[in-house]
Order: sequence, then structure tokens, then C-alpha cells
Amino acid sequence: MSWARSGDRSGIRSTMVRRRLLSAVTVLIGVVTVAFAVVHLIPGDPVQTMLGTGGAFVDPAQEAALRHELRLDRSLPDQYFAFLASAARGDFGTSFQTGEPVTRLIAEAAPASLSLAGAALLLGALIGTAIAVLSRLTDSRVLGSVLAVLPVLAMSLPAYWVAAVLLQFFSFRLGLVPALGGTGIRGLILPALTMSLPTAGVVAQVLASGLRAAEHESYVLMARAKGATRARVVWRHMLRNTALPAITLTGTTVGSLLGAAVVTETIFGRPGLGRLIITSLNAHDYPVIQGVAAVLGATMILISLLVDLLFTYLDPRVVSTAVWR
Amino acid sequence: MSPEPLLRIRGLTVSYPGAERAILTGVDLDAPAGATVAVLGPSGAGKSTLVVAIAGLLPAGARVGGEMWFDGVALHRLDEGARRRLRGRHIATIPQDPAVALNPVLPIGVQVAEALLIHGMAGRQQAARRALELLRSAGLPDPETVAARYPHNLSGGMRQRALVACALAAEPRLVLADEPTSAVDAVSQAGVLDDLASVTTGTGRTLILVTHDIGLAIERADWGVVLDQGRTVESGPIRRLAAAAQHPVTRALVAAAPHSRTARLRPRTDPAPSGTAREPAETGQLLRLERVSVVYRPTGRRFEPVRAVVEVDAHVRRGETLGVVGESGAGKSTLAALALRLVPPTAGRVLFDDADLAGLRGSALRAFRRRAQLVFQDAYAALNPQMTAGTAIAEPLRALRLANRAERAIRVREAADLVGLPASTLDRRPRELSGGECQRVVLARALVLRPDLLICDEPASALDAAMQAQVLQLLVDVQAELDLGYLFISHDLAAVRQVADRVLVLRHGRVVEQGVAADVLERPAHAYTRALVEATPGHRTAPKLPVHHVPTGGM
Amino acid sequence: MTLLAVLQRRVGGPGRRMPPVTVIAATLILLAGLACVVVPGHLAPHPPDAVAPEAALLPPGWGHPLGTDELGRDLLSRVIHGSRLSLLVGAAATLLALLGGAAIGLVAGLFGGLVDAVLMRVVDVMLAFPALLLALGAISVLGSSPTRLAIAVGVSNVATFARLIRGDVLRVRGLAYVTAATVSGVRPAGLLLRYVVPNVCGPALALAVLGFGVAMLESSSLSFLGFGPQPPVADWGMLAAAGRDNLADAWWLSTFPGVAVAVTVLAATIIGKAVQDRRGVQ
Repeated sequence: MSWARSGDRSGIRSTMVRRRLLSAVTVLIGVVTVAFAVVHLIPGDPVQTMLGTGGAFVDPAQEAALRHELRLDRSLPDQYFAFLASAARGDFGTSFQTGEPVTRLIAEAAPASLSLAGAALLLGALIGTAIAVLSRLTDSRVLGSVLAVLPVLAMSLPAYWVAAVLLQFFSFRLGLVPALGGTGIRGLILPALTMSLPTAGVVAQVLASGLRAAEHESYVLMARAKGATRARVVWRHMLRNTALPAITLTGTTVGSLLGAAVVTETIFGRPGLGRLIITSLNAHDYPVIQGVAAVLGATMILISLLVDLLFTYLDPRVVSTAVWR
Repeated sequence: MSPEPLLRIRGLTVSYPGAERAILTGVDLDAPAGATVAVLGPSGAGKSTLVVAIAGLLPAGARVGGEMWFDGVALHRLDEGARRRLRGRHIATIPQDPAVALNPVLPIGVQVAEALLIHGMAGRQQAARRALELLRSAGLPDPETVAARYPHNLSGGMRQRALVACALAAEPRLVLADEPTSAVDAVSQAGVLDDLASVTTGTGRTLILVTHDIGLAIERADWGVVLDQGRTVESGPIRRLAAAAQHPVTRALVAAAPHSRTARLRPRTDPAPSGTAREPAETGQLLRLERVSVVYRPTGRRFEPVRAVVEVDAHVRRGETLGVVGESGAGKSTLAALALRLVPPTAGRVLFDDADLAGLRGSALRAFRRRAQLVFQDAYAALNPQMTAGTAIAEPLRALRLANRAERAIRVREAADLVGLPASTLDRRPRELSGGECQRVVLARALVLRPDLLICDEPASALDAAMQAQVLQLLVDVQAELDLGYLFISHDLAAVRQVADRVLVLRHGRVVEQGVAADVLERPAHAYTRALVEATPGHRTAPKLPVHHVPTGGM
Repeated sequence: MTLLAVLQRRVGGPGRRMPPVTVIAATLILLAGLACVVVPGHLAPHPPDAVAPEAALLPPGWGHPLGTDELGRDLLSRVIHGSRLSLLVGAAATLLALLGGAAIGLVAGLFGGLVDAVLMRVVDVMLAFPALLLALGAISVLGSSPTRLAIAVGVSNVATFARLIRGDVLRVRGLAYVTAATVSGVRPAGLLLRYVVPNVCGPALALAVLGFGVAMLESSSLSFLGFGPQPPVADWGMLAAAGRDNLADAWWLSTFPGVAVAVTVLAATIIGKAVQDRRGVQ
């Protein structure tokens, strides 16, 4: 099939990118649709639930205003397309609790969550890489077994428990960091550590199994046959080959990270998207719920899209395997 | 009085704790300085383990006994650090499969220069310059371009040459080459070996060449060492070894070498081996392909249409074998899929007994399924891991509802007997069977329906030489007994010579040449066929060797 | 991608198996958990609701191995009784996710084409939300009770199961033995029942065990956040949440219920990995 190689690589790449973008847009529309459906799936009349007076007197004018605000006085398709249109402009209405625009609430909460997720990702990647590399370099059976179980353990610990233990130890016993509502780097340490554990587990596990598989690769044998030291083989040959899939997978766990942020932000009393969604769920603040859901979903789609595209450009093999398979 | 050899091995043993038997049980080997020593033996003899042991790359936990002397140094007494400093510097290794032996994410030049950097023999820039020279002398004409490329950009032959350059960077005195061309297509094979020879012989380097092909060894080596079940069974000058083989294993190797497999096999069951030649013209055409083309549409992973088969005309008669040869990717397997109605032709027609396969539905389709069967390349993969051998063989009868339970049992036994499969294997699952047994199960499954046409897709290529010979003989016997038509697909010309009556040569999906097997393979008309034939190891020297008859009885 | 999808991943090569000691320990832990579910009354030293104001907030000691809460209730007994709710919710959620995921995955993998495309887009949409958030949404739609908690957690994991099982179906469908069966004349129904399903079962089983751990984590987190069943029924997540107010002076209250969750999840994950090892799942 040697002539199949003559294919225009950039053309293939742009086809891949176009397809990936198309599917991302489809899923994005789906996500916004789900956000729209939230209000309609809640049992009972959302307006009654929101006004939450349990059958007591409801101001008809207030009720009508709410209906209009939620566009519940229009036909369903009409409501849907209106919602899509305003969502596309980044407009999710105003919060019932505070009367502020949902977009502003999200914009205020997002930086805290993003810095937390970012710090957790970084920390998790570092811890995970360290575990994986160590497990490859060690000759000790005992240490090897411990390092095999450690990633699994890191992924098994409930975030609320990790948070509680960290708080007790570092805040209450040692008084090193503020317990609640801390700001700046010092306030970020414990929550980020809490959230980093699952990521560390993922990175360690993927990297370790990748390294383990690489151990039996012929190119590793070749490197050793050249006289390369153990450390050189691991760093220069094995890690390079394993890093890319690990990065991809880590990128795609950001979703779990955002889920964990709900718990972490609650227990540490930090502001953020997780806290925002919990408070609005408790207060039946539907516009905020819709907005946060749509934004979170869109973020995840964007991240997985970026990771996929990055992979296409980083790995010299992606395009050629696409042709050969 | 011969001088002390560069490498001397005495009573080398390698075993793993917990393993049933030792991998090496007593290997003796002498490699004189400047000589090429071929290490021969059937698969599983321990050839690769020997190479790995000499290089000092055995996995942790391996138990090693015996003595290895390299230039007067006792390798078996050195610690890992000292062994490492020898590796790449004085003892170099060229691994088996060039497709995976190069690091996919590092440029070729970096990988070639690596040994120089590791052993502190050159600075970064100097090593990079040296890498270009090495690539050129390994037979790569445009080293600047190649050095900047990644392995996946190179063809198999280029990769293998790059590996040679990697291994020779530090000018080692001993080069270990483990089946260096087994993964390269036939045409580039000879060229790679020429290039390997030019950088070893005449430079005073010692080359240890591992191969299962004694023809190749005769062409390239001075000495031969034959291994069987982890022991040295015979050694000596290679020509004498081949011409006057003492040990049965050596004789089997000689018999299995491509250059000694030139005649078509005769069925052992045929009462009169000569004189009863069938008249193929009398019987009608069982399978006919009329200007068939297949274009695979782009899929999620592949973004361009692939023209797998282009306007192929072919036919198979009852009782006759059509051999299909060509390199990998030539469209051979698509041809098999077409004949079995697994892939629809994009253009043209596929006819079975004059009926167009495209029109078959329902009972007609099932009748076709009964009459045309497939024998797979990788027999193990072709068996459902959850089913016992007996169930697998009965599966076609059950699926086509051709027999009740009792009759099925009888026919399964018949089919098993036909292919020489002992009854005790019938209740085992694939992973409990040997490669040869799996191949027999697959053959029995195909034969249990008493088909008329058998499509054989590289049916023996995954087996070692002895096993391969048995399976080919079996196919020939069964054909004579059941008057089957075979579409026999292989890249192994020697195998095709042994079973085919007519040959069809495919290249890039097109028929290059087609005709009577002996004519096409002995007097190829097309340049491509000639290249294929000439690339067969042993073809050039074609030494006169006594032909030993390999026992091909049951396993 | 969810935690579960990562957990079930094995990147080729002969893996380092789970150390046998840990597999034995994990089995014992799950058996102990099962005992707590079946006969909590026989195992707990005290009734879970026995209030004893004089013994409030006792640290772990002889009489109360895990200490007592602010009402003097024995924490060990409460953890043992809470196991029923926690483990059953986890198991029910896993079963739901497995059945739903298997149905979607099999249909998508077998039919392919448009059916596959539509189902996988739906799965993509579900995967675009963090599972915990999806479950939170489901809970607020369904209301809270143990059953609804199980349904919410199960639904939030259906997409992952569907995606992974579909992948297995496609993998098996492409294998040589399925082609062999087609050539042998096996009909589509036979292909599904005798070839695809038996060979997808092994990986799915391992996935279910791993999924149980993930479901436990998720359901206990929801309980912790106050979206679980309402008092007086207390599962481990709720017990941990109740201890939050006493983090500074009674560390044991939120620590031990969390340990119970962690140990169970760890045990399930280890066994899931061991099942993968045994069945040679790739």
C-alpha cells in the first residue's frame, strides 16, 4: 500500500480536526439541552417550587413575572430556542436568590475553582509521576508492592475524608494553615492536596502501567544494548513514550476534578463553582443551576477537544497510524 | 593451533525460578575473531535467549550458569555495571523487529549517536556528525534527511539499516544479530544482509547471526552452531554442517530450508504418486473472480479510500490449488475475504459454481457457507477462547443445523482424525493447545462441513519450520482425499511451490503475473516476480544439498 | 472520562499483578462488610440509637472502640448499622449502571451505524457532566431516599459503562474468531450469544466490581453533602458529615466512617483489578 503514503498529511489532519469539532458542537448542543431540561424535569410546577411557599398565598404578579422570566408562558419549542439563543450569548438570566445576572455569579466563582483545579492537577501530576517512576526504578519487592497499591489507594479515598484528616492534622493540631476560608496560596494548599489525590492515582497508574509495558518493548532492549544506564532508559526512552497518553488521560479527568470540587469547596468553605451549585440546588435557584451546568459541560467538552487536538499535533505517529489502520 | 576465539561459551545454562524447564541447558559456542557464526535451530530452541545472555540483558531473576569468555574476560564473573560498559561499546545487539526496536518518539540521528554519548566517546556535535557517516555506511544514501526523521517515516528496510547503524556506532568487536531480516519483506531482505555483511566482514568484526534458515546461514556465515531445546547439538564449518548433517534437528533444518523445498508435495495417501495426474480442464471452475475491484471507503481512522484489489481475474478449479503470492499489503487477504463473501466487490463479480455471491441470501447463502471454508493465518486468534476444541469443530454443523447432537459428535471425530488431532485434545480450550494443534482444530472446523473450496490465508506462517512442513503436507493429503479446491495465500514462495498448481502474483492489488506454478516461479516473466524469487534466501548460491526427508507423521 | 474509565484501563503488557496478600485482605474486608449488611445486630456492641448523655464524645477506648458522638451513641455500632445502607446503595447503583450500560453498549456496538452514532452522542453528553454533578441533578429531580440515591448514582454512571462495554463489543467483533464464526455460517443471534457476550462478560464483570467502589464514593459524597437519605437512617457519608462540626475536638467522628468507605472502595478496586488479571482483560 505504499501509494497510500502519498496522502496529504495536512489534509488528513484538517479532516480529523473538522470531524472532532463537529462532534464537539453536537455534544455542546446536547449539554445545553440537558441544562434546559432541568427545569422541566423537576416534578411539579417550577414556579410554585421556586416561590416555595407550600400552597400559601403567592403574589400573582410575582408569579407571572417569574413565569415570564423563565419563559414558561411560551410554547415549549419557543422556550427551547429562546434558551439556546440566550445561552449562545452567555445569558442565563438572573439568580432568584440575589437578583444578580447568572453570568456574573459564574464569572466571580470560576477563578477560585479554576485555580484550585489547576493547582490540584499540577500537584497530582507531580505526585503521580514520582510514584510511577519510583516503582519502575526500585528493586525492592516490598516497596514495589506498596507502590502498586498506592495509586489505587489514592483513588479510593473519599474527598471529604481526606479533607477532614488534613484539616485535623495541619490546622487543628499543627496550626500551620487556616482551617476555613483561607485565601491566597496558604488557603489553597489543603484543598488542592485533597483534590490532587485522585489525579495522582490516575497519573501514577497510567504512567506505571505504560512504563511496565514499555519495559518489554524492543526499543528499551535496544537502549540497554547500547549500554544505557537504568535511569537513562527510564527517563529518556520509556517516560517519553508513556507521557503522551498519560497527559491525555489526565486532561480528561478534569471532569472528575470539577465534581470533587463540589465536596472540597463545601468542606473548606471556599467560594467557587462547586459551592455555587450546591447553594443554588438547595435554594432551587434554577437559572444558576442551568448556567453552571451549561458552563461546566462546555468546559469539559472544550478540554477534551483541546487534549485531542494537542495529541494530534504532539505525537508524530497519530497521523500515520490514522492512514495505516 | 587455532587462536583463542573472541567469544567462548561453555555449558551455558539459563533458567527462571518457577519455570517448568530451563531455557538453555548447555550451550557451547566458539566465535573466532573476524568470523561470522550462525546460530541455528527451530523456534523455542533458545536462540534469542542465547543472544540476550551474551549481551547481559537477561531479566532480573534469571539464573545463569556456565562460562562465557569475551576476549579473555570472564563475562560470567562481571557485575551489572561492568557488563553495561561492555554493551554497545564492545558487544552490540541488533534486535529482531526493526518496526519496534527504534524508539518511536526520538529522531533516528539521536538514536544512532546515543551509544557514542553513553560511552563518552564523543561530544554532542561530534556524535551527530558521526551518526551521519554511520547511516551512510549502513546503506542509507541520504543520511541528513534520515537522521532528522522519526522511525515511522521509514520503510522496514531503512529502519533495519538504521538499527545496524545504531549498533555499530561505537565500533564494537562483537555484533549479535537476532533474525535481523525476519520482519523485512523478501525484496529488501537480501539488501539489508548485504549491507550488514559489508560493515562486519573485512573489518575484523565478529558477527553472531541468529536464524532458522540454514540457506541464509550458508550464504552468510563461516561457522554454524545448531541449538535444540537449549543445548548445542552440532557445530562446525557451516557448509560441512549443512552437507553432512549428523543430528536429526540439523537435517530437519536443511530439509525445511526454502531452497530445498522446490518440488510440489505429493499426497501420502495417493496410491500411485505418478501417472494419475488430474486433468484440471475436465472439472468446472469452482470459484471465479471477474475483473474484481475493492475500494475500502474512508473510515473513522483512515481518511483516504484504499484500493485493495484492482481488476483481478482469477479462478480455482476443484482439486487444484491456486497460490496467491505478494508482499504484505498487496491485497492477498482482501482476495480471501472476497472469495468468502466477507467483503463485497466494489466492481466486478465473484462467482461460486457460476452463481454470483452478491445475490446469495438465506438458504443459498448458507449452502455457500457450507461449501467454502477458511483456514486462518493465526489459528489461535481464530478460536473463541471460551469454546473447547470439540465445540469449535462442531460449531459449523450446529450453526447450519446439519446434524443432530449424536451425528455431530461422530463427524467431529471424523474431522479430527482426518487432520490427526488426538481425541484427548477435543475438550481443551485454545490456550491449552499448542500452535500446531490450534491450526489442526481450525482445519478440522473447516473440513467438518465437507466443503469444496478451502481458502488458506497464510495457514502455516505462524508456525516453525517443522510444524509448517507438517501442516502443508496435511493440506496436500486432505486435498487429494476430498478433491478440494484451494486458494492458497502466502508470502512464502517456498510454501507456495510445495502446494500450488498455479500461481497468481499480486502487487498493489493488481495481478502482475499468473500461470502454472513451476513456470512462474522458475522462469518469472515479470521483473517483480523475479525480484521476489531472487530474494528468497539461499536462492543465489543454491548449493547442492542432500535432500533429507522429514518425518511428517503425527505430532 | 470518569474515574471508572481510568480505573479499568490497562495499558498493554504483562501487568504487575495486585500483590496476593492485598487480594486476600480485600476479600476478607468485603466479606466482613457483607456480614455487617446481613446481621448488623449480632456484630454491633450497642444498639445504634442508644443515647447516653453521660458518655458523650468519648474518644476511642475499651468500651467504645471507635468512640461516641455528642449524644453518647457508640460510633462502631452506628458504622456497622450504616453499612447496610451504604453497601446496598452502592451495589444497587452498580447493578443499574451495569444493566443500563450493557444494554446501550451492546446495541450500539452490534448495530453500529446511525444507532451507534446517536447513542454515543447521548453518552457523550452525559459524560460531559461530572458524574457527581449528574447525580446531584438527578437527586434534585427525584427527591431523596435510599432507592432514589441508588438510582441517581446508577444513572450518573450508565454512560461510562455504556462507552466501555461498547468498546469491548467492537473489539471482540473485530477478532478473527468472529470472522471464523461468520464463515462457519453462524447467524447474527448466535454470534451475539455464543461469541460476543461470553467474551465481553469477563471485562464487564471486572468493570462492575471497580464500578462498585466508584458508586460507593459517589453515594457517600452525596450523603455527606446532605443529598442522601434523611435522618434517622444514617449511612457512612452522613455519619462523616455529622462529625464535621466536631472536627477540632472529636476527630474520630468523621474519620472512622470515612475510613469505612475508603477501605471498602479500596477492597473493591483491588478485587476488580485482580479479576482483570485473572481473566486476562486488556
